[in-house]
Amino acid sequence: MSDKTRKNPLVKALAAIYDFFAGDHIILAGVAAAFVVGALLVHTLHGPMAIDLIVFVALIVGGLVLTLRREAAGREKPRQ
Amino acid sequence: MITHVGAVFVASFLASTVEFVEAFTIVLVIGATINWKSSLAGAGLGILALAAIVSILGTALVRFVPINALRLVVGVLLVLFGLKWLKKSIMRYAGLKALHDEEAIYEEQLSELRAAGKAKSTSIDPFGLVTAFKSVLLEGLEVAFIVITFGIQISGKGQGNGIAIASLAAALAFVVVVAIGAAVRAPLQRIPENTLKYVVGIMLTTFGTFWGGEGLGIVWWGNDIFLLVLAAFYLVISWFLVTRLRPYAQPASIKTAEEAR
Repeated sequence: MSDKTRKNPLVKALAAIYDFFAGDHIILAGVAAAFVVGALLVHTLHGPMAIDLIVFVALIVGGLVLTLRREAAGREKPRQ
Repeated sequence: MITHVGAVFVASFLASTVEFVEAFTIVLVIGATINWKSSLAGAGLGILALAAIVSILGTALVRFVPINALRLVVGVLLVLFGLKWLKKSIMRYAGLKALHDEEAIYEEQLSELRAAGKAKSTSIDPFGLVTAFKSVLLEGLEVAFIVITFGIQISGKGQGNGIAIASLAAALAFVVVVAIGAAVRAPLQRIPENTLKYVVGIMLTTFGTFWGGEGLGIVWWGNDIFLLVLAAFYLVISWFLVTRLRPYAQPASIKTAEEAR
């Protein structure tokens, strides 16, 4: 994002809204996937409720795991 | 169900405490570095703006939005808030982030204000007023969100005025934080903030998953009892992640205020 774009009040406002509600694109993607896939499973595929539940929770946790994995990836693991 | 009302009260209290601690830290910094008039005026204006917003949005949310659609929206937002806090708490417990946020933020704000040459004066300082106003409004909005969303859940289940119960919890949190802050006259670094944020992160994610799932049409085993299963699950997962991340912690890393955010 260029400095010019960053100074745009609309972009700044959108960035502030994003930071307030999410602030992490991986978590946002995981939660979005959980709710979209969950809705598809419940209302379109009519799968067993246990499967719906497990997939829904797994996708939420998946977002958390992936974002933490990314944080760890930037750091060198010390030799044991 | 009394346990559900109790859980909402505790969750609202803890979540509101975290937000009030954050807002109060900034108000303290402005008061200590610029002057208390600007700090308290900004905080007061923030509270007034917040009251106006909450009174309008609260009514609109309760009266016009269908409960399942609301549960879905609330669920998504609570999961987002919860995971954000959970991520930070996990990173702090694992040693990837500074543990004492408020202390770091306090020091950072203090040096920024000193660097900006903000000397103490008795008149209203626009910078101090706006900073305090912004902080109180932003953190207060999060409290309002928590109060309205938690409150609506038990109101929707015919268990009395949920918003009143959640508001009471938030008011209690406000009194506790202000009383503690006034007593110690320090930026609240004595409150184990990470523990608080961790518990709140677990609770928000748990409630968000539960209500979001209900909004989608998922039927949870044992209804409200499943909240305990979800909370236990998130506790186990988060501690597993803490143990997996610990080897990546830098032993003598310099944890800046920026990193602590």
